[in-house]
Amino acid sequence: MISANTCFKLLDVALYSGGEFAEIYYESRETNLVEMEDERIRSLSYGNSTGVGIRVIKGEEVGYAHSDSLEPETLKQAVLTSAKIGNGKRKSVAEMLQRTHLPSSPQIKKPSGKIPSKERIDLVKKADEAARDEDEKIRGVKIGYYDLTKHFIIANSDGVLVEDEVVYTSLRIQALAINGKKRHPGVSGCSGHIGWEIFDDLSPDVLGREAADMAIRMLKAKETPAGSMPVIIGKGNGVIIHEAIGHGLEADTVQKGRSVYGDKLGKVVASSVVTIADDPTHPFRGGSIRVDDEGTPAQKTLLIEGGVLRGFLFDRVTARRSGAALTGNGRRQSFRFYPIPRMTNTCLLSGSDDPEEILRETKKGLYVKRIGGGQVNTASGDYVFGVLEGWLIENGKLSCPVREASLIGNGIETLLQVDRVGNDFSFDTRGGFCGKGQLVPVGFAQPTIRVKAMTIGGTKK
Amino acid sequence: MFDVAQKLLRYAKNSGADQSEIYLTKSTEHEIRTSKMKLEGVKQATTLGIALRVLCGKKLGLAYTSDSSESSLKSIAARAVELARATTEDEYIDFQDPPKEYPNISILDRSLGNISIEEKIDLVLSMEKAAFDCDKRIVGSDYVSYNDAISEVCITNSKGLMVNYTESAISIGGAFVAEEDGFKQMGWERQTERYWERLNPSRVGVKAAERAILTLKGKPVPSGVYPVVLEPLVAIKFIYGIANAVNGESVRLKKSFLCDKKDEEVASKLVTMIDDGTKENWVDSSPVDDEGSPTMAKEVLKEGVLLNFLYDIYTARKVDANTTGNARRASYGVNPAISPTNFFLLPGKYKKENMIGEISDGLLVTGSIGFRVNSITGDFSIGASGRWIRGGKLAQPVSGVTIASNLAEMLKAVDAVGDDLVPVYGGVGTPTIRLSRITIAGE
Repeated sequence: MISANTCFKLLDVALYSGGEFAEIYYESRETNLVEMEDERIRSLSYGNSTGVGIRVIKGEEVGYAHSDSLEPETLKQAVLTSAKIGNGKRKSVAEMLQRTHLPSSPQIKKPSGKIPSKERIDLVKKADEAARDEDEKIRGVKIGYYDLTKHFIIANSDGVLVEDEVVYTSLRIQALAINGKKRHPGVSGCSGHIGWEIFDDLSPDVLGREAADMAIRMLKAKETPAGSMPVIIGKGNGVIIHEAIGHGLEADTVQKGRSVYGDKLGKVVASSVVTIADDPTHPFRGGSIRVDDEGTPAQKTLLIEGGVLRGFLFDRVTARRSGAALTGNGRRQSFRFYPIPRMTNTCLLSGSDDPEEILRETKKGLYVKRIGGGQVNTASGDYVFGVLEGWLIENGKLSCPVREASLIGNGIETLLQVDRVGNDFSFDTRGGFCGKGQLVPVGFAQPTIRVKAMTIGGTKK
Repeated sequence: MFDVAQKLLRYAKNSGADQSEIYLTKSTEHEIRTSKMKLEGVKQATTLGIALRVLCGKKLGLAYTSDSSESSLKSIAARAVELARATTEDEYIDFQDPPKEYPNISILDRSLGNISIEEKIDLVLSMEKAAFDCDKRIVGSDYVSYNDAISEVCITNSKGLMVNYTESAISIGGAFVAEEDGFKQMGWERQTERYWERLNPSRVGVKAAERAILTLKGKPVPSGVYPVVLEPLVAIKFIYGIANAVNGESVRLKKSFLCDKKDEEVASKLVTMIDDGTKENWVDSSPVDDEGSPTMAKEVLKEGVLLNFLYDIYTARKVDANTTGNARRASYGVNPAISPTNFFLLPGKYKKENMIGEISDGLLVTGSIGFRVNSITGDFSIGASGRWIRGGKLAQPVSGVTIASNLAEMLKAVDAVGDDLVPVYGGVGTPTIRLSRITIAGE
């Protein structure tokens, strides 16, 4: 634990040799992990770590130091190291630290950190059994359970003092179906800033069966025809928005000249039915936070409104550089990292179309039930995405599943081609972690949308 | 550090552990970041990691912490035992018996601790300067950084194993942006060493800049099957695919395209791949692996024949073999798993210019995006950029194409191996190689 008083003293030392801003980030965390593969518990672990990260900013330079030890002398040394970059003009620390009052958030009913180890193992075994029992063609099941309880305190030289505790829980399942030479994976899972109540609705049995069912469905998949066609992306597949568009809207990417959105504020970057926001205020999701890792209260940020680019996501360093207002997007993996602009929950907002109507209206195309992973070149906006479960659309109906489809496109071009947005806004229950040199948990949400034409990469010539 | 380890062994025993193993790591790290010849960031850190694995019967529990106080160590000991008692049994888990000897290799630059922050900053700026001075079309830089770490590792277990070592690792590199007529292109280069003296920042800056210039205004080419020359930064993805395919656990579970091919000729005679945990100057060498097993050099492929897979204690016991010293922890809080140490393709005698000179129509690949490399099916597909080769000479710049094949095919298609072996990612390295055929998907 670190007291406000200690923080205040350290901030003073930090700015002693010059610098405009100093920040102390204290964190104490506990994690539990269970991994099961091929019916064997491969890993069962508990870990804790406590430490302090100290940041000093002077002009365009950022000094950072972190320490596992809370010994006053060690902390002072860490502060002085971080401050090495700060020479010259000195800004003094605010008169006093004022505690930020955070908005109230829904209570965690069943804190995951307090669950007995045996119950965690039983949960994972249940999911494993449910997946295997679903069909004899299910051969390989892999399950990962993870929970994190984190207590943090942030104090900075502007006088901000913030304290919060978060709980994060995650279960991910992958089932492999094999039938002769054919094999295909199926996935399911759930995650969020929530306790074990997450499993009340999404029980391990339900999730285990879901992964198995998807793998079995996809065994019948035919080769995907390559080419250009309309694509309906089913609800909950928001990760494509996060990757293909979101990263280009992070202010550090923009300021380094590596974003295709850099010069397009106020311009049309999507069709008029597209509105996208970064919204940490949704409760319980992967990106649901009350305050970012710089002490800025979390807020919903409108990124694209009716097709027009309205804003970017900032942390303190980038906001200062642009003269922009803070958006609460300064996040870090742990005290061992300095914060950078990160997304929280990437949301494409609901439209007014009936999702079933959208399908009926589409004579032929590809229906993406579950999107996989992908990569984007933020400078050009080009992306490639894998499709985990895709179906051919024929005469307004889903006809047959197709395997190893990929979506190839450009973020702006794709969004300009969106002509239908459903009213079924949904979060991807799996959520996930976003990597940008350091991992943070995030969420994705979207309704069913239709893109008039997309390039599909397939294996069928 | 030994004191902490001995204490923890005692606490584990008192908590009810039948066997225990402690993995301790203490490191001091620095990071310098610059952008466009200006200092962007300086980071310094000390990290302490303490990981305890205990066996209660044949049940394994793992608990870790960064707090070395008595109360923390006692708490970790109790937790690890509680976890071990709750989990499932596995008779193949075991800890390393004290070995008779360890390889004697030098892995620490003793001067590194005395190099000042200012000297490190100057080094990175000299790397940038070399790149910008190289060509006026170089307009920007990104991810330009210097990273170093001096780490002490200590592994002890209840069987009497006691080993520790201290190592240094330094990495410099970055990407530079070239621009011409409104078109931009990025070029990367990285150098990883144990010793400060071996760093060559100007060479790194110039190479990255040259790569950016080389593929400026690159365009796709028509699809077809062609010979390709892959520079180390690209060829490494192929090497990684093979390193993953010879992971003993993947082979055992039949999750590798090489699983039934031991002792068979799977590659061209030019292909000899080694995994060597003792290789001098390379950063993935150490006297022991992360379970305390002595490291060793082994021929994974020799003149095209698949000879050896990589094992840790667990998998070795499962297949009735011996550990090959390939246990690695991704971080101190994670169980060890099989991983390559220094893994590389043995260099040949070919010069890159000669490889190019012998191609009438083909592609020199200097950069790539993505990593669709599946060690189970062997499928390989990456985005590629470089220069077309026509009549033995470099022709127009190329980008926006993919090169695709299958690892099994690629192994057989290696028809020239360069003399320019370099480590690329940590201790995984390769020389430039030529493949006689690969599918290029462009227009």
